[in-house]
Amino acid sequence: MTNIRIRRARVIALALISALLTSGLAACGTSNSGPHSDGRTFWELLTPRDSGGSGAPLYDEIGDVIPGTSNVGGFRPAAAVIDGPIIAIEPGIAYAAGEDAQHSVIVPYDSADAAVRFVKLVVQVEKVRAGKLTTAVQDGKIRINIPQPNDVTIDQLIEAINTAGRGIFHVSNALERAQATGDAGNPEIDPAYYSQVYQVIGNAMFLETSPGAQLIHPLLEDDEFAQQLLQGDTTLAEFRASVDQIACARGQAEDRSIC
Amino acid sequence: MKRIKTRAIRALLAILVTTPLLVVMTSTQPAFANYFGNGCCTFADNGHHTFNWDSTEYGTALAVQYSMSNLNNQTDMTTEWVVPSSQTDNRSYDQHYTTYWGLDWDGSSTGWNLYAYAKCVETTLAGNCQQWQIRYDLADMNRFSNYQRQQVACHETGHSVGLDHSSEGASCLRNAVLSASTNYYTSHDRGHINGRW
Ligand SMILES: [Zn+2]
Repeated sequence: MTNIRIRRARVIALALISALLTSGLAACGTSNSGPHSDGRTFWELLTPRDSGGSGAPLYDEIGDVIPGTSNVGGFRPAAAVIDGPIIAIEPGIAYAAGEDAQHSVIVPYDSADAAVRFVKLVVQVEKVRAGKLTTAVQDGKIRINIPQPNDVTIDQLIEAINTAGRGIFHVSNALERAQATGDAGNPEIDPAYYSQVYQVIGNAMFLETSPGAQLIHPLLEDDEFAQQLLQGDTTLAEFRASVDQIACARGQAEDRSIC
Repeated sequence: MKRIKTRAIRALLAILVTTPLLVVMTSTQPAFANYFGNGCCTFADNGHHTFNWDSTEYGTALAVQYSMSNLNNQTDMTTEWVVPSSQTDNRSYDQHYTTYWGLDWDGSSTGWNLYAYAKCVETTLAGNCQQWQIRYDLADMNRFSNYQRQQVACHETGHSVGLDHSSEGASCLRNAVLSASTNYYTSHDRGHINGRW
């Protein structure tokens, strides 16, 4: 990537703080290396082993998903950009295998007929960096709907939760998003479930699994595209600064003191 | 569009299976190209890959048939059109999907326009895949050229035998599949497949 931006002194300060935190936590010992299911970390467990798709991205840069931009090629930005740790995981919605039909059928999460399952990431919202969280915020937490591979159990994921990390999530309430994109009439969009969960917009979820570690992007399968969005940022501190810069420029920063 | 589900084109297409393809191999071997079996996609249950495209429109059926002929001719695996059952290794469907299996097909939320999606819906006791369902989005398939449809079918069929996304520009397993320069497997992809079957 050619486009490495020049950053302000604040970024250096954040990087220093992040480095200090890293060394501090490392000295504290093995808080992050507790028992996980057969040695796999949370995101290793959530990496698909039973599915693969093909397609193309509909947006070009991270600014396209940060609130306040006009719709890019019909693609709407997220309602909010949030920052915080993943603190829990819960069972979500499931769909049957189905045959030749336009819609699949919602089945109970534990059903043997389920071909596709989703889980809910519980994220403690430490800061709204841009935009606004509108609904379904409970005790400062939101739930984010993401796919689960069929060969892992919710118990394995719960066991590995301390390797889930923290990060920056571009999100919209799933039901509000479906209403905005015209998908709300789809029988797969269960209003009761969708109103309670958020969706990652543009698959733009960037995480560090330990302080200062290189960012991962579990929902963006195409690494080339992920790097295009990151524009040279490799840590959460760097990426946070880039997001803040855009949010401030657009007047979308929830906390104007960061600008 | 009228859906073609007749058995008439089957005989015609079956001829294609036995017609050897002219395949240009790339000579360069990258340090890393893709995973096999331990990446996105579990292995097929054996080297004989049965398939059915009865449910799809003509253009999709042609592309799937091409991809199966290609797998048959380019690798040590064999392919066979069969009457669909729970044992069929690769079953294709196409519809105008907007939300299916809870996935955002038009990308209006994920920002990723999904052309097609392969899912293992039945696993064997050994942990390999008994049946892959491949779903093609007609919103994309109907606007693609024959060649582009073949690229997508080659990609999804590759997933259904265990191939993950490839970093090679010439492989149809390239993540952004239409940016691949071919509609077939590279020598690296073939090495994976032929090493197992
Ligand atoms: Zn793929």
